[in-house]
Amino acid sequence: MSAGTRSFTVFTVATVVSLVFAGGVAAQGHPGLVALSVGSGSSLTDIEEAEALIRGMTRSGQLVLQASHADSQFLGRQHEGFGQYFNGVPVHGASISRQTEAGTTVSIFGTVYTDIEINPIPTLSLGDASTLIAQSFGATALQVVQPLTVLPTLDGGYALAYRITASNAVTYFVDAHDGQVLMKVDEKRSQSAVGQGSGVLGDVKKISATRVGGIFEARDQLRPATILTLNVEGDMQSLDRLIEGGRVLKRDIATDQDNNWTGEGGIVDTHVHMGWTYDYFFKRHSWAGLDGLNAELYGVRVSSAFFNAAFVPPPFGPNGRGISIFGTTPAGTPLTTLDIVAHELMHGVTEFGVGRRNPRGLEGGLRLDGLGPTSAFIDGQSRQCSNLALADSDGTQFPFFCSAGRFVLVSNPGGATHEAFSDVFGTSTEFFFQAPGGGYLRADYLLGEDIPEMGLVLRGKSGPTRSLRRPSSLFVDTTMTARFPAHYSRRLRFALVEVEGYLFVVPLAFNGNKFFWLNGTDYGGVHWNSTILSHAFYLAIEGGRHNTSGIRVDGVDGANRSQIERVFFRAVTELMPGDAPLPVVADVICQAAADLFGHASFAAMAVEKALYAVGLRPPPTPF
Amino acid sequence: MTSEVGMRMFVRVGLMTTAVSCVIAGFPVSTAAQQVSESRGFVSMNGGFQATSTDFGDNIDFVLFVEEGDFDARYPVETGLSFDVSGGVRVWRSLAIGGGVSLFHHDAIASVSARFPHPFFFNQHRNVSGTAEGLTRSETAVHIQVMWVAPVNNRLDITVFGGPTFFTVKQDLVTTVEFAEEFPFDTAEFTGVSTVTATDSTVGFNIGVDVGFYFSEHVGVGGLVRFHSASIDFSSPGSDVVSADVGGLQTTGGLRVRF
Repeated sequence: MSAGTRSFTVFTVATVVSLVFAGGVAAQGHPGLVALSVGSGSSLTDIEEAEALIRGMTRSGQLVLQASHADSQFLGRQHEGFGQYFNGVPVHGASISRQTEAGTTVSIFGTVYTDIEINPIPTLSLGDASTLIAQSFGATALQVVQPLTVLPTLDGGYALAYRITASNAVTYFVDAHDGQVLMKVDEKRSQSAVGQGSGVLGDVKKISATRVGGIFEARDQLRPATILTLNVEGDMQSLDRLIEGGRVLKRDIATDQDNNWTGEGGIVDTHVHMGWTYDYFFKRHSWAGLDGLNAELYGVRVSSAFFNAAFVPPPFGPNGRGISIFGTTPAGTPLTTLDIVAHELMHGVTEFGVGRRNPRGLEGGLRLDGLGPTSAFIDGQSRQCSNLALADSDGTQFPFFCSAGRFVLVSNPGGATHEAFSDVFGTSTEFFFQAPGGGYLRADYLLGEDIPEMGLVLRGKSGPTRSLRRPSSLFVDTTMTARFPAHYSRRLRFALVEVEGYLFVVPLAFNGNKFFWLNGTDYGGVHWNSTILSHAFYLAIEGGRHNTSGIRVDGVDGANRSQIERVFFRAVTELMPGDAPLPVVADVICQAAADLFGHASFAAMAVEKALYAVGLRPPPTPF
Repeated sequence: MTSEVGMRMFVRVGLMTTAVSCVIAGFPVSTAAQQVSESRGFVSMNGGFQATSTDFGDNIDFVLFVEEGDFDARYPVETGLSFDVSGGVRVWRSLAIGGGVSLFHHDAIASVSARFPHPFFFNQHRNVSGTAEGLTRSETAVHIQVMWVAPVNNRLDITVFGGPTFFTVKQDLVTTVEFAEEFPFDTAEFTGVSTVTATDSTVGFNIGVDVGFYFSEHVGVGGLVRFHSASIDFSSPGSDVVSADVGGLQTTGGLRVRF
């Protein structure tokens, strides 16, 4: 390995989530990005300016009203979702959420791009792009209504791309001119590090089944939405068929001979915990199922060969309504504990909730996230970004992507938001059904704590997957170097390398000026950076002094946790735009608190202070 | 008046005890009052009240949603109409033996409370309560009596008695509590009950006093106070047995015929 380079094996280990066209100079964020965030705490001028921007862009056809819906909690309030278009082509990740009451704007959140200049006429046809996907990845393109999109690239530019979601539950962004794959997004909203079958723990629980002939199916028909638990065991072909929207076959459905379900705690936990999570959404938030409309819920147990838990959103899953997948640890423990199941189902709520305003839901993907330092200390020496490269096994070097000599960094705020809300409501569901405390089957602010072997797999040390209470108490992976961040300034951002004119994200993660070679990129740190928001959730309830900022938060107390849960739930189901940086997400949450309890309420102040403590908001305005 | 122990019958008409008491109180004592009845026997027919109030309960366990639930029914036994026919014959001096049959009927409103298991969760029973109306209780009591007839004069007989009583009781019992529920099933609503009529027999006792006032040699009116009691175990479809007290204090009045 030559000086200034890093073995290419590191590069290949990295999950190549995103590759973008390399070109000009990257700015702090995308240079054309305008983030809108006005709400109850904003001045009239701010609101008028945001309104003027919306009016202007709407008049010019750049903003199009995509969807609107009535507020589910406040009579007379309306929510509108706008999507940005360039010459009739939608712009990826650009959307605005506007809340109005009697024609008056209450809040506006979202992001738009203001400097798009590309040729909007594709060179390749959609068929050409689909063929390329099929040839390269062996996956069939699913029917897409509006495949052509403008993709903001990590070099600060834009590309005309076909957005093709394929049968392998991956969305590909294919350059509409030269056929290069610009970005891939794994549609499986995964919870890769949690779980435990309560059956293993011996807790006996009721299971709502349906008698069909002489056997009992894990089909819950007591709840308003049918909940169907499938069991493919280790049959990955069946799993693929179900993900791809194939018909549910009789043999897919989990069954028992006498309705006394023994021997498969994972099935029991999957089915029962889906039901409990449904109950939590309904009782706490008056939300019916995943989509709010009681669409059928599907969960599938995979007893081997799938070390993960995930939610695959529409158009995947039976009937195109999404499907939750619950796998198994290498030691054979089902990933079906209550917090894991609720976590995955919350991904569905997030998809459908945001999807009411933005048809593509809460969009994940890598976004430019500022610049790192000029150098990194590698192999015992300080290496300048401009002189640093990765080398593959045959010595070919791939330089790091720098701007003004500094590492250009990316992260995935949409994905982190997705994961944070899933952790928040995985935890909330646990508190709804379990007594607070330590140990198994107790409610706490830990994710996956009932499967301590997950910690062993993730970081070589037995323990939970994540902690909302003390995020930094846990390392993110087995390198035992980087910790989960509890503050925005400590978020993990990832470096890029140039490969034949394209940018690849690599597992060189920066946390401030510290950097870490990690085992992967976690899709841009979606799970790892989620703890910033979820820690704010914890602080808003329990209060305390933030370890990094030193800011003290007065929480609403555990007895009033429902207030904070309602704030976060409203934020995601009623207000959240299709994509936003974490500080805008924080603004959305504050707006939800102001809507529910008033801007000066104790609950709203707790939320605002907590988000300030984690570095996502300015100091709260005193009243 | 003679000392001869007679075997005269007397019959009582169905008047209420209170009315009878008034008649007795207002009737002028005639010169014949110094004479003592020599009746050999008597027959009485009475109507009135079983003037007692008690209740009994039943608790039934059942399994619903793979968990045990239960309901509790409280059956009040309140004052109700009672009818009675009795008779006796002197066997030696003032000692007589006889028997009687009394009927008691009562329509009751039972209070019902139930705990229904939750379909989704253990140990989260839903409590419901309601009433079950029109539950009938019928007691037929056959009394065997040893009597001591104490004639005060020719018009007035006082009889004290006691002996075993054979009860046959029909009692409507709640077998099922019906309810309505809907998601999220955290509450349930009482909608009604299913009942069954249980029949059982038992043996108890009776004691009492009868006062007869005669307008003529053979016919008069009188009042009867009888306490009769027993414990009975009904066989209930939902539980092993339902224990209840039967009988009580009967206060009746009516026709007396002596011979």
